[in-house]
Amino acid sequence: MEMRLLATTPDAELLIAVAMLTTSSDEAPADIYVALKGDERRVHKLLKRLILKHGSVLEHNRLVFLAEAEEGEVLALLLAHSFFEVSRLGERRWLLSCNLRTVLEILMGEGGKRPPEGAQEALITALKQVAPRLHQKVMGRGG
Amino acid sequence: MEVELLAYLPSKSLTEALRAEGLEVDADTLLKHISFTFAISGISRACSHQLVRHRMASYSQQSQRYVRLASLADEAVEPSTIARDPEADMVFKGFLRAAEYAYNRLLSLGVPEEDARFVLPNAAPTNIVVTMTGKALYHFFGLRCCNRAQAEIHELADRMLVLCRRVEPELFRRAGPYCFQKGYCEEGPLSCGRMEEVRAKYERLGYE
Repeated sequence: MEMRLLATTPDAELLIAVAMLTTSSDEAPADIYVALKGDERRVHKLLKRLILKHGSVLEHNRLVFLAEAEEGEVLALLLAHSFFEVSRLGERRWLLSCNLRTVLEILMGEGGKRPPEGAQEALITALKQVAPRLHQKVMGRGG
Repeated sequence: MEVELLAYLPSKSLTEALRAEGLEVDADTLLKHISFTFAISGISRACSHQLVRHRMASYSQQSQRYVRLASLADEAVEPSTIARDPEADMVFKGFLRAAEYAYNRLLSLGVPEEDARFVLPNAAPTNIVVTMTGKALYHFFGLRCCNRAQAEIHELADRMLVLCRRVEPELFRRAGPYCFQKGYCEEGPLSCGRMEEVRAKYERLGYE
C-alpha cells in the first residue's frame, strides 16, 4: 500500500493546546487561541503535559491522504481503525482521511491490529510533518 | 454566545493537490474529508447537551470538575421565553440564586467541585471546541437550523453556517435545515408550515 499526505488542517498542535486549556480553564477558547498563537514555547510546554490516553483533544484536525492500494489493504486499514473516511477514486486509488487521534492510536498499537504494509510509514511521516512535537513524544516512547 | 471558526482544512488546498495528480472529486466527497473547528463560549449546558448528541464530531468541553463556576446568577443563560415574562424571570432568577448559594455552600463545606456541580442547572454556562467534517455539518444544520429546534442551538447552528459560508461559500450553498436541503419538510404534522420563508432565509444567510 502506498499512501501519502495531500492536505491537512493548519496549526494542528496549536489546536491541541487550545483544546487542552478549554477543558481546564474559564477562558473562552477563542481567547486561548489568540493568546497561544505565536507562543511556540507555551504550546510546546502544553504538549509536553499531554496525556496521550486523553485522546479527544487530538481530534480537532483532519489529515487527507491519497492511497494506491488493493481493496483488501483498505479493508485492513479500516479494521485497524474504524475512524477512517474512505472514498474510492479509481480502481486502485483512494482518498483517505482521519484525525491525529486515529494516527496515534494506530502507531501506538491500540486495538492490537497492525495496519497494512506501507500505511504505518506513511502515518509516521504525516505525524512528523503535521505535529512534530507530538511525533517526538510518541516516537520517543518507541512508537 | 460567542462563536468563531478557529481553523478548517480549505477545500482549495485539497482540490489543488488532487488536480496535481490528475484527479477531480465532487463536492460531496470534499465535504466528507475536510473539517471545521469552532470555538464556542457562553452557551448553556442545555445547549451543549444537544450539541454533543451529534456523535460524528469531536468535542473538548470546559470541565465542571476542574473549573469552579464563578457566578451562576451572572453567567447563566436565560431563554427569551423566560426573560420576556416578568413572573417567569423572577422564578428563574430566584432559582439561580438558590442554586448558586447551594453550590458555594457545598464548596465551603469541603465538597469537591466534581460533586458540588450536581446542584448546577442546565442554564450554567460552558465553553467548548467543536470539530466536524463538512458532511457532519450538513446533518447538524439539517436538524438544528430547523424552526423546530430549540432557540439557543438554532442560533448556534445559524452562526456556524454563516462562518462556513464565509470561507467555503459554494460548498455550503445547499446547507441549512432539511426542508431547504431536500425541498420538502420531514417533520410531518409537527412542521412549522413556513417552508417558503425558511427557504428564502437560508438562500441569503451569510451571503449578504
